Amino acid sequence: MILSGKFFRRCLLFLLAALAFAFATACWDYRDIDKRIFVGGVGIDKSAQDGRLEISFLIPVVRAIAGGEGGGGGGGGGEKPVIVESTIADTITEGARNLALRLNRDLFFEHMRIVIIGEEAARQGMEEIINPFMRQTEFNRRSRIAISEGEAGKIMGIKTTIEKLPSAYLESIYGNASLSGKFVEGDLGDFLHQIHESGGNALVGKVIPGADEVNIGGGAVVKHFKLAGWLSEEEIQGINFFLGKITGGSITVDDPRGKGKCTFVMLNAHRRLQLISAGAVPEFQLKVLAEGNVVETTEGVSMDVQDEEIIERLVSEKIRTEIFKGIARLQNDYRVDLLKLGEFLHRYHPKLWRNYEDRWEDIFPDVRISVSVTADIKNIGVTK
Amino acid sequence: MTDVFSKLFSGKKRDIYFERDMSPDKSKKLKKDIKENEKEIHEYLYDCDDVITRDFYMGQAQKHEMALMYIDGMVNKGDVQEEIMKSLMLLSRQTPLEYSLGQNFFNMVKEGLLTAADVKEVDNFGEAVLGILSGDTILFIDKFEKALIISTRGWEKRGVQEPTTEAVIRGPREGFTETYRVNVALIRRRIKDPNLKVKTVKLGRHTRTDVGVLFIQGVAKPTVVDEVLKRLNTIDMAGVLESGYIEQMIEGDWLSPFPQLRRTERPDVVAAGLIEGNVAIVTDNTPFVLLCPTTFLSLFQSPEDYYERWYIASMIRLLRFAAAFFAMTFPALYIAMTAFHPGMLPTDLALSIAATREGVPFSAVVEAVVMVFSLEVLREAGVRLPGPIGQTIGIVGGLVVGEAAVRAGIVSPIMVIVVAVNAISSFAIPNYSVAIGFRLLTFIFIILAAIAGLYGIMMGLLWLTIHLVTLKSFGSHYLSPFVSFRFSEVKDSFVRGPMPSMEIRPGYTRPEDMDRMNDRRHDNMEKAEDENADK
Repeated sequence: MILSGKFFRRCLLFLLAALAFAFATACWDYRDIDKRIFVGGVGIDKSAQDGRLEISFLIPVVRAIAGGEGGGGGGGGGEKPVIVESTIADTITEGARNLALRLNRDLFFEHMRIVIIGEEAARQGMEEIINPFMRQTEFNRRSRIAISEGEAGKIMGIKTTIEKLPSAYLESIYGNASLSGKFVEGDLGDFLHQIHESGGNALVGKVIPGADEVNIGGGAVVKHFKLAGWLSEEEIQGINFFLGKITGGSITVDDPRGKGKCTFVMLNAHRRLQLISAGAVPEFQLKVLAEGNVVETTEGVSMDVQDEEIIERLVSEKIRTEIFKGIARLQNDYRVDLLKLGEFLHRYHPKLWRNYEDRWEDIFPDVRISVSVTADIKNIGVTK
Repeated sequence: MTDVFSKLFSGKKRDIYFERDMSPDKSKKLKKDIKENEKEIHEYLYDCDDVITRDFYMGQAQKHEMALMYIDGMVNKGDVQEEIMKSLMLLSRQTPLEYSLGQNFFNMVKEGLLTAADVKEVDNFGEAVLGILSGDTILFIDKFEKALIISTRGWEKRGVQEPTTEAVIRGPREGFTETYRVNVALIRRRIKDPNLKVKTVKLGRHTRTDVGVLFIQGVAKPTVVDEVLKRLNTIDMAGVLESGYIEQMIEGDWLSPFPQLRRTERPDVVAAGLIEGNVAIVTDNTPFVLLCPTTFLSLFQSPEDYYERWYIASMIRLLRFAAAFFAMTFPALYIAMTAFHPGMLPTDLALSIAATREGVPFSAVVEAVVMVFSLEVLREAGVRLPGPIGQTIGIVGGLVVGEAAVRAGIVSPIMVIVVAVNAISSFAIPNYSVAIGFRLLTFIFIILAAIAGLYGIMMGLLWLTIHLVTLKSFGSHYLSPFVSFRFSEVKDSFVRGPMPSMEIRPGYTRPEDMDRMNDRRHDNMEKAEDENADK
């Protein structure tokens, strides 16, 4: 009586729903966390065999990283925290598949922290290298990307002492470098976005491998999906000023009172870009306001208002020079618009942009840009 | 042998059994002869050795034969001796009596001699027997076709103690007891309002349990009261031993994992509920009183929410809801995050979880099910074992076995944390029956997570929401005030607003009288306006 049709109908419905679950979803996606390999970084080089890629995967050994406090076996102190597995393949995905045959666990890329492309491979062409990162969702879009001077595999293989994981080490010094303003900020997602928008042009960070550390600073210019060349740290800082990406960093100038030096630390910087005239070649004006503190002088302790004004002038002069250097390199040497002037026109002057759109690559090197910089010292410290 | 059985179960006895409808058989009237009455009663209470019969004469002259009948142990013997026998046998001698008053003699005894407080007349056997069985004493007087039921109920009972399942830091320490009248009195003491009505029905063919329906007339919606009484009257069970029987018989959806009546051991909670427009169901022999209609949110309330200041009360309430969520989904979330979506975890956490799982022989799902299951066993064992041992078992089971299992590498330490947090969270829910419901759902969510990861958990939550939205408790929406949304009630939902701002009673009870407090400011403003007008 009480188990009437309603109850059975509900049971049946529930059963159907459960079945739908089982079939409509992928319970074969289930994989215990200890049966996965969390790839920390990927390095891509051109292999000695022509036309193929040599891909290095940075693989953390979890047992060694978490310290062998628990667990049944293993946990020895001498265990290496990471291993680097390299494979030669035509594509990155194929490389990962190759590796899966050698290792008994699933490669998992959502915790990938860095992607490094070797110089040779980058010069040859990056279109096919970045393709899988664009296509597949599993690659972590927030991982950092850089082009290395020399082989990328070397960076994967460095032995770090402070951090157990080289990928964590690299990521954290990337963060510091970005703060200094002398490095190209942005993660894999930003990079893919930029290169996709501009049809193959982008600014990427540069890494120089050392023995057991890396040197990060400066940048690489990618033009038409190919590495065109390098930019120095100062040039990158200038470009960062131009793009309004400065969040810190310091400028050191000669002390006006003598032979010493004086360091100005940026708190923040504002910039304003304006289109002045739009003839055959457009003309821009850039205004930069840099605010910061004087944190160190090697000459004396006292500083008066006049000195402050002089330092402000010197600092703004120096920033101006850096900006010009950066602009000059991009306009004259690489002839590629990484200053996002085209994007600026497209956004704020869409009608004018139509006139330039087709020939922009030819017009850009001749674009005139006037720059004025104002430095503002907020604080000179407790001593007067 | 067959002879004995046929004697014991002869048809003669059967036809004077009580009717199944539980109302006492009033058709059989008492007789004139006291001996016949006694014999008849003994026929009803055949083979009931605990029935005591006491024959005596009133006063000095052995003229008026009387008889007392009661059940040993259910009456207060002192009362029987002092208030009935002493007054009839001894005190009656002090006053000269007209012994031949005839019909008036009965009234003389009832009104002039008996010193007992509660005396009732009966003229049929059904009510008389029921009186005896309820612990009253029945007094037969020879030559009268009626008898007196004297209330002498008194048995060994537990006093009013602090409720153990709903302890509070601030608030009264009184809890209900097992005695119906005491419980009703505890409520009445808090609501000295003639509008507080108590309607008693008797339920259970064998138990004849007193069940009282309490409500405040003019606040509780009459249709709800009628509905409660109607549903109570449909109950025709052999026995009602606890309010749980009633709860399960009258709730709307018995497939739901959530109780649709709120149960409490605290008179202050019942009083608060009655004032909000609830109907209370008080059952004899149990300290648990039911409140209806109820809402999902009210099951998360503790009386302290209203005694503490509103910041603290609100924070604690939010904590409780968070705890309820974890009590339901924490192991499931762990499984989904680690086995399906490890990308959602911070890298360091993912690596350390992976490292602790290294060498664990079972998959996370098996691990979780086994751990949650053994925790349930521990909990159950802790309840069964006597007090001090219960705690020991908790420590031995929780700490020693857990630690040993981790050391042996059978379970991962993170799973121990997950399951412990899950269990502790469930104990933060004030209402035990809800907490247990959530513990049950934990298993379902674990299975869903094992099949489909976070997608499965979302599906489960969706199902839960759909279920809760459709669920009703005595015509009120279970998810009120969010279903049939009323903004002013949100201040007593996930948070508890400041007391002066809670001017109206909650809408889910559909109270007759919405005003919880007089708006003094409003009154004063009107007064001031009047005064200005006079000038």
